[in-house]
Amino acid sequence: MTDLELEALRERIAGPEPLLLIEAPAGYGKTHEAVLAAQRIAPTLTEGRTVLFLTHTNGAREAFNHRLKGGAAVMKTIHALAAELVELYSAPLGLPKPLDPFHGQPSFSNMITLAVKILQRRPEIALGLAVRHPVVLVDEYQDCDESQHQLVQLVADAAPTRLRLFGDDLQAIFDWDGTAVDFGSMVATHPTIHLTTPWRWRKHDAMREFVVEARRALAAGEPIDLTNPPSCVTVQRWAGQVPGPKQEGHAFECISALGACLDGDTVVLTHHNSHALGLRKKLPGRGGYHEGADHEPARILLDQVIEAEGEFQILVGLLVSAMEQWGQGMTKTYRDQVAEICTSEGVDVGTKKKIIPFSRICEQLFSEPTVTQWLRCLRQVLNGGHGIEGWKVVRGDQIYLLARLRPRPDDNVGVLLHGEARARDAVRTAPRKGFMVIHKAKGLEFDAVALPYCAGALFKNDLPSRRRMYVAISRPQRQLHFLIPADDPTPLLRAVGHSGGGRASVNTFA
Amino acid sequence: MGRNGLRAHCRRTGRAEADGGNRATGRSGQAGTLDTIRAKGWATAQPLLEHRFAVDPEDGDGLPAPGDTLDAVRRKVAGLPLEDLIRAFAVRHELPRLATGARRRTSRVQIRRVKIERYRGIEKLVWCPTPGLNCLIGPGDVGKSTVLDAIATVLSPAPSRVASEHDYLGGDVAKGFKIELLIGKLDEEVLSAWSAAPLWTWWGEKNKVQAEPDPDGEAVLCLRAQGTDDLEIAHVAIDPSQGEVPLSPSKRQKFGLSTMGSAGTAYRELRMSRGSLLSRNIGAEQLRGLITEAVQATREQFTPSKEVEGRVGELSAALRAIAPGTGDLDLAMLSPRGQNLLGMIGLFASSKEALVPLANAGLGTQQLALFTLARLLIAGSPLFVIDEIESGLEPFRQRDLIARIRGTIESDGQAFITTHSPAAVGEMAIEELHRLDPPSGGASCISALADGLETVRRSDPEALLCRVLAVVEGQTELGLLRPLLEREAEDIGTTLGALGVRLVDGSGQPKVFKVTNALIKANQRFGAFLDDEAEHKGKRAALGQLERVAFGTYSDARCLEDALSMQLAVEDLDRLIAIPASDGRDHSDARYHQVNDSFGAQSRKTLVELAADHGHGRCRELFREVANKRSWFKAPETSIVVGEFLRDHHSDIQIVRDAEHFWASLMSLIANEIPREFAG
Repeated sequence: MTDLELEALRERIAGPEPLLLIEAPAGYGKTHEAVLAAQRIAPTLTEGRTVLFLTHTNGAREAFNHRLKGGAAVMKTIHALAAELVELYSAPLGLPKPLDPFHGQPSFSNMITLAVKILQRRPEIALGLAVRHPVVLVDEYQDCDESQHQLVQLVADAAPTRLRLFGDDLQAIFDWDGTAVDFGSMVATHPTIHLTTPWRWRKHDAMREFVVEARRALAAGEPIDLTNPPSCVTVQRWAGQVPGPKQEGHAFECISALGACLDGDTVVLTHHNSHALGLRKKLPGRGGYHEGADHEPARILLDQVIEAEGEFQILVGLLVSAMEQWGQGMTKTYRDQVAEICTSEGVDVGTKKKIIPFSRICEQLFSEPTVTQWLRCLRQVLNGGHGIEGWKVVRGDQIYLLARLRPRPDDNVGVLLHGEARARDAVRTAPRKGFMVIHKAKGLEFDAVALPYCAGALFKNDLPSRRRMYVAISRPQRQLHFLIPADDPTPLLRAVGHSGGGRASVNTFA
Repeated sequence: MGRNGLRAHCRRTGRAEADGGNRATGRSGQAGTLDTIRAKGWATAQPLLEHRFAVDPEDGDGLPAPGDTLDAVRRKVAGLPLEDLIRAFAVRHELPRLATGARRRTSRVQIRRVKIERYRGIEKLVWCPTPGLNCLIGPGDVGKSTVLDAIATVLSPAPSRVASEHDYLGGDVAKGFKIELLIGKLDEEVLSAWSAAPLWTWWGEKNKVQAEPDPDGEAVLCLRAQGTDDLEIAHVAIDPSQGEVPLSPSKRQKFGLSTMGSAGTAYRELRMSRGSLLSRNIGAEQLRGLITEAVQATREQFTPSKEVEGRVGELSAALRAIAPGTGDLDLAMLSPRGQNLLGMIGLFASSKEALVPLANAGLGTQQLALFTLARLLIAGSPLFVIDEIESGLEPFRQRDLIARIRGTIESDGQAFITTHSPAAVGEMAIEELHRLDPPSGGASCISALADGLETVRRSDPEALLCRVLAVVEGQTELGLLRPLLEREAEDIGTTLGALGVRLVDGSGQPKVFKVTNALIKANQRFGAFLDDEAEHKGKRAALGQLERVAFGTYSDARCLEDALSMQLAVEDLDRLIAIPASDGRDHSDARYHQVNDSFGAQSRKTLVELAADHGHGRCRELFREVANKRSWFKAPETSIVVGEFLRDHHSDIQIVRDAEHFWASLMSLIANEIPREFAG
């Protein structure tokens, strides 16, 4: 694409057309174009009017915010927009204020539905929004479900609005219940701009060619051809079992092959959280486990703590449970000993001298069995006050999130946790190495990526698997490693020896 | 040079280029061209664009123009170098903005409900004004201006001011005050002030507001100004969950309130003081440099007398004695401390070769000048508030001003005015009049006047401005009661006028009931003095039952003539017949002829003489019949003499006692509003 053509495209995006879809594969600069469009449009708007940029995640919002510097646009997640509307009517709707979506008040999906209803019953609000934001940009539109789509439409239809929807059908991997918009057919029926310059690989020609060809193959329903891969792509086969959905797994060959790949900054992408976590435990020193914005485990535990307020023994149990879930080195013996010394009358150490440090923490909980005290005890544990040899944190994202909470008497701790999680996500930058699931990696880019479980059970020959595969392979800039289980290779990859079967050998095409 | 320094440098260069205009490229180039277009208009900017864009004779002038489709613009600029292409598109992007910039506001907001609590003299008031003109009337000191000020306080775009303790009811600052407006007919300009407008639902016909959104009801905003206990006025919007959203001056500005200061504030409004009507009309930028120059010039011309100079010289020497480094002292002009120099500039009008500051002109001229300035500011803005519209204006200019206000608010705006002028009331439609009465039980009340009062408005507009209206049967009672009631007022050291009691001709039964019903509907207390006729007994009885009505009638007589014939001796009736009317005309001859005619005689015998022949009873009967039939006392000039006659000579008869009774009940209606020494 020449400069002139690119400029013409950009002018069109910033131009007066009421609706424009911007379709582009991963790494083709969608976010960049969105930032540029906001920068171009903002100075042309009348005073008091701004560009509205809607994202799905706080992470995306912050990334955009970071690049846009200077307030050319108002940035919000679609949920935040919906929450703003619902909170206005929280009293008539019988909802708490502030809202508490983590306890279903309302649930996240209900939030959007309620917001849509409010706009339908009070179209003046949509009118105000649309006039205030004559230009609305939406990121990752393929991830919108039906009600999010409706919300955007209600705003856009309320007044003459320039709507710019950025998306890519092949990256629609969040369609859990089949209600996502069909961005593919939207592209077919609405004015669309296709971005054609793969910026992500401007310094890596071989990788660019590989990803472009792989996308073509996946979109056409063909397998990716790995029979003669470029040097930036390695393919290894390993013998052993791919772990089940909830299992951490211990396929020795896979781990050793993966270990050989993990030089420098490489991110390992898996299908299940348990897989990422399992590999991270077996491969220490290769980066952390990144769970993204999810803080569901912390919330569940916190809810149990709130429930158990006043019950000393249960609170101690939950403290031990936190150390067990999110740390390494808590043994059954230890757990039993803690249970033994904590009686309904208090803490009685008896002859178990080794447990004295931990018993001090228990005593504090006995004298004040509250949520605040529990959180204080958790902080003491993290500061080394537990006295348990060899115990260390594995899931820092969850345990430190809880430890940061310092509620005052009137605070809703659940909402506090949510705020804390959001604040954390806001400052989080993309990791350079480590372990995470493909869904969390969406929108991020890495130097190198390894896919350890390229199995038929996880990547079937269907559209969701193709989309997931595309998201995974389009992340790295420089290097991509495929690790294929010999017994169950995915049909999405065509590698040498696939049909061979028998004893797997490690083939490296480097 | 560090990175920041470099960036700053680049930015400066960019701006310099933009100012240079032609050489500018990229974004700064857009700004240059667009500024020109904006400043000079599309037509004059064309030559500037012409040498940039190829002209295609097939396609108009070949330039991108407002309203061009994307394709047309693209065709027009095909083949241009990139730089020009960018500019062409930038111009096109500006089109929506040019279009919206010229757009006038299409609709106007309206106040649906006013709620006041503990503000100044008003403890509690809820009022639903009507669309269009709302003219507040009512006796003095009931808080008409307070209502207007309350509205202006909520919507005033001026920065939040400090409250005075007099803004709090009874000066009780700790309890705060609250003014709440429900604003409907919201236009997009107002709605877009919020990213999520906190809208309530209003049901106009039920005067009810609800939190749940409902597309069948009207969307309204609930705005509040609250006086806090630390004398601040907080402006907030209340969301449907009772949360408070701050209401910034820029948001308040969107409601387009325009107040016209009363003539008393002309001193401030007609000069360039900060935020005044004049400065909002003219803009300070143009004058700021000029005034500084003017002051400088005057400073140079300023030459004190020799005597003063000598004294300054002494000061100079004295100061140098203790501060040797000080230079020579001199006198020069300073701007007044703590004041805006611009405030020295005001509007003048030339009159007979002299310049007169408008602020020193007659009250009426001041009022009209204020109105003109306010009106120019509000072109297209919806809400207009004017206190005491009549001040300084003759009736004909009042009427003209009202007509102009109507023109300004057009069919869909809303204006709030107060008046004490009958001429202004006469100019209003009855549904535009709203009466504010003194509070009863803590709550003040503003009532719309009902149709039945239209006749009163037309015949006696002043009556609607009085404290309490006394509707009487007809001209007979008007004349009879006025002297009698005036004497009662005199007895307590005042007059009917000072008490605000006004007698109104009810034009007989049943017409009078139209007026009384309208007064009841308008929630008014009033007096009614009616004949005790055979008909309409039920209606009179119902009136007599009402708590807020002072009811009076003739005891044991149907009408005045009936009562006179029964209560006065025949000699006194003769005397009454002989009194000339208040216009000096003597009707006695005509009246005696009419009486004698009834006996078939042509003589002019007095009643006493006739009584000797026909008996006293027959004579009295005849008096009643003839006086009634021939309307002896049914004109103001003839009935008033009856009242005066009874007042002066027969203060012990029943008619007078009936009048005294009526007076007592009238006074009990307004007992708590009149000074104690009068009430005694």
